[in-house]
Amino acid sequence: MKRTIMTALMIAGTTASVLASGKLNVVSVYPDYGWLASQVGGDHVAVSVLAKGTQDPHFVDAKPSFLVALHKADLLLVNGLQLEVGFLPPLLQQCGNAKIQPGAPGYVDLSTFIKPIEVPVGGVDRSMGDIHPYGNPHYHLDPRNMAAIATGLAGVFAAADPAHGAEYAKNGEAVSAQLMSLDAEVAHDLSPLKGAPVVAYHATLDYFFLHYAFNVVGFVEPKPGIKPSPVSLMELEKAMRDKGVKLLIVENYEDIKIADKIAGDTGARVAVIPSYTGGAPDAQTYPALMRAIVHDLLGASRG
Amino acid sequence: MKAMTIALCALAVVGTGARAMAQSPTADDLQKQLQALQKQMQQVVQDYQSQVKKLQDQITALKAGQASAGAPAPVQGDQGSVPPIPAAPPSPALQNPAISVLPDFTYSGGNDPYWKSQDAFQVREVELAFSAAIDPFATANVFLSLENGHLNAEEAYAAFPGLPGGFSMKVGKFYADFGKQNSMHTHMWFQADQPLALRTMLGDEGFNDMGVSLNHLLPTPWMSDLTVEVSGGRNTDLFGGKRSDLSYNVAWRNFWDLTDNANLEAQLSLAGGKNATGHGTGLGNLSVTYRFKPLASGTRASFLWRTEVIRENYRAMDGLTRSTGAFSYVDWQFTRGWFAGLRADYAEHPADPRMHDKGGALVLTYFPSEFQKFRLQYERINYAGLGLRNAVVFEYGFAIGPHGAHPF
Repeated sequence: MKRTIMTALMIAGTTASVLASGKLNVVSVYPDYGWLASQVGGDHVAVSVLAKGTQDPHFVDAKPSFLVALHKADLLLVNGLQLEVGFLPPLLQQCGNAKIQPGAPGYVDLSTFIKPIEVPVGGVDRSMGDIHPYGNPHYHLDPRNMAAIATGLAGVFAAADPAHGAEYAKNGEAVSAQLMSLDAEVAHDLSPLKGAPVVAYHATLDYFFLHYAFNVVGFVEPKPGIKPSPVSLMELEKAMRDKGVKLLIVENYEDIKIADKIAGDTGARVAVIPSYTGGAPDAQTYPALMRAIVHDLLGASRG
Repeated sequence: MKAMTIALCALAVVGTGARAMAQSPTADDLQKQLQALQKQMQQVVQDYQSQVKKLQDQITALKAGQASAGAPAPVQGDQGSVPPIPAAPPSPALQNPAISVLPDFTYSGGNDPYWKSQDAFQVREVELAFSAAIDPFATANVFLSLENGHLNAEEAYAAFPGLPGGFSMKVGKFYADFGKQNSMHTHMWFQADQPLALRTMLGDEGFNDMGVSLNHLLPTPWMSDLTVEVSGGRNTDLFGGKRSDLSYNVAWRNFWDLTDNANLEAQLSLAGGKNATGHGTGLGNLSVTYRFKPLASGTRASFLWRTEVIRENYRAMDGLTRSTGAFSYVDWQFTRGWFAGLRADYAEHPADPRMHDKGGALVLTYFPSEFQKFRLQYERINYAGLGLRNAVVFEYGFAIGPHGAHPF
C-alpha cells in the first residue's frame, strides 16, 4: 500500500505532460497487463503491448519497431523481477524518452504490487540455471495478483491524470472484483484436480499451482532455462512413475515433442496451454486465458 | 535486570510506607496501596516474561533457518506445493557495477595467412564488461579487451537515454554506427572471424573512435532513426589527419515488421574525414538484414540473412582510389542451441583495387546455454597474389557475470 502511494505521488510529477496529449500513452511489455491497463484506463488511455502472448516471455527480441511506442510513452508497465532483463535495457537506452527510464515516475514495475514467491535465500548463480534472483516473475497467473495490480494501476493512472482519477478508481475496483470472482470460478472448476501430482515444463505456472493446490513433482527442464538431457529425463520419468503423475503441463511455446515422448514413456497425458493473454485463439483476454487454461487442464486430465 | 527491578520496587514500597506513616494512614489505605504495588509488580514480571519468550522464539526461528539452508524445504502456497529452489551464499557486490568476463579461445589450422599470423592455440581475447547507472541521467558502459597481453578500452562511453527533444546521446569511445557488423563485439559474431571486407577496409579494430553520438527517431510511419556521430579521426586505417581533424558518420536506420515472425532492417551509413595524407577519406555502407523467427518456437528455430556492401574513396597525393567490399551470410537455427551458417566474402585492396580477395566460410555453432558456445568453422579464401588458402577454426567462448542484453 505504501509503495502504491509513493508510486502515485511520484507519477503526479508527469501530470502536465499527460494532459497536453489528451490520453495517457501506456506501453505494457506483456499483453496481460495491457489488458488490465485497458480495463482500468477505459477511454482515457491508449495502450500498446510489446510482446505477443504466443512467445516465450524470456526471449522477446529487442526489435527497433518497439522504439516507436516507447518513444511517446507516458507510462511503461514492466513485469519486473528481471523478466525483461534480456531485451528491455537496450530499448530504453535508445528510445529517447526520459519519462520511462528506470527510476523515473513513468517506469512502473508491477511486481511492486504483489508478493513474489521463490525468492532465493542469500543469492543465486548460474549453476542453478536461469533463476530470477528477486523471485519467480510469472505472477500473472494468480488472479489475486492481477486484482492487486488493478488497484495499483488505478492509483498510478489517477496520479498521472488526476482529472479522471475517480473513474480510474471506480474501474480499478470493478476490475478487481471481477478478477476475484474469476479466481473463485477457477478454484471451483479446478477442484477435481486439487492435490493432483503434476509435472510442468518450466516454473511459469508456480503461482497458479500453489494457489489452486497442485502438487508439482518436477519440471521437464532439469534447471530453469536448461534443456533436458537424457539422464534428467530418465530421472523425471522415474519420479513420475513413483508418484503417479498423470498430467504433464506444457506452455504452448515450449518443445511439445519432448513432452509427448515423456507422456509416451510414462502414460501421463499432456496439457498444452497458453500462458499469456493472446497465447491462443480462445485466450484473447485475461479471463478468457484463465478459462482456457482450466479447460485445457480438465480436458487433458479426463483424456 | 530482573533483580534490579525487584530492588527498585522494594525501595518504592519502603518510600511509600514512610510517607504513609507520616500521614497516619488507616489499615485500609495501607492494604489498598499494598495491593496496587503487588499488581504493578505482577505486570512488570509478565512484561519481562513475554519479552524473554519473544527472544527465545526468534532464536529458535534463526536456528531452524540455518539448519534448512543446506536442504531447502518445498515452497508452500495457500494449498499446493512446488519443488524448492536452491540457496546460494549472499553476494557482496550489490553496489558494484555489473561486471562480466567473456573470454574467447581459438584453435586454428591450415595455411590461411590471417590465421597463420596467430598462435594455433590462443586466448584471442578476454573482454571485461562493466556497466552501471552513473546517476539518474546517464548509464556507463565500459568494455575492456585483453589481447596478447595488452589491455585496450574497446568501448567506454556514457549513454544519455532521455535528453530534451527526444534525443539520446553517447559520449566516449565506441564503435561507429557504420553498418551492423562493425559494432559487434567478438563474442557476438556469427562466425569465428570478421568478414574479409571489414578486416581489409576498416582494419582489425574496425571503425571505432572517441567522440559523440546523437540519435533521434524520425516521424515516419515505419520505424526509422538517424544517428550523427563526430569523432576524433584517429582511426589510422581510415583517417588519421591532423590533431584538429574530425571524422563524421551519419547512419539512417529503417526497420519493418513484415509479420509477427519476420522483419527487415536496412541501414545506410556515410562517413568521412581526413586521412594521413591530409586528403579526404569517404566511406559508405549499405546493410540489409532479414530475420525470421517463429514466435511460437522462438528458442528452437530462427533464420537470419545479412548483407553489407562497403565503398571506400581514399584520396591521396597521387589521386583518388576507389575500392569495394561486401559480405553476405546466413545463420540458421535448426534446433535448440544449434546453428549452421554460411558466409560469402569479397574485398578489394584499398591500396590497389585491381587486386581482390574472395572466399567464404562454413560454420556450425552450438550453444549449450546462452552463456557459452562451441564453434567449428571451415574457411576458404582466394587471396590475390597468394592463391587459395584454407583454415579450420575451433572457437570456444563463455560469459560469466550479468552481461546484459545486446542491441538487436
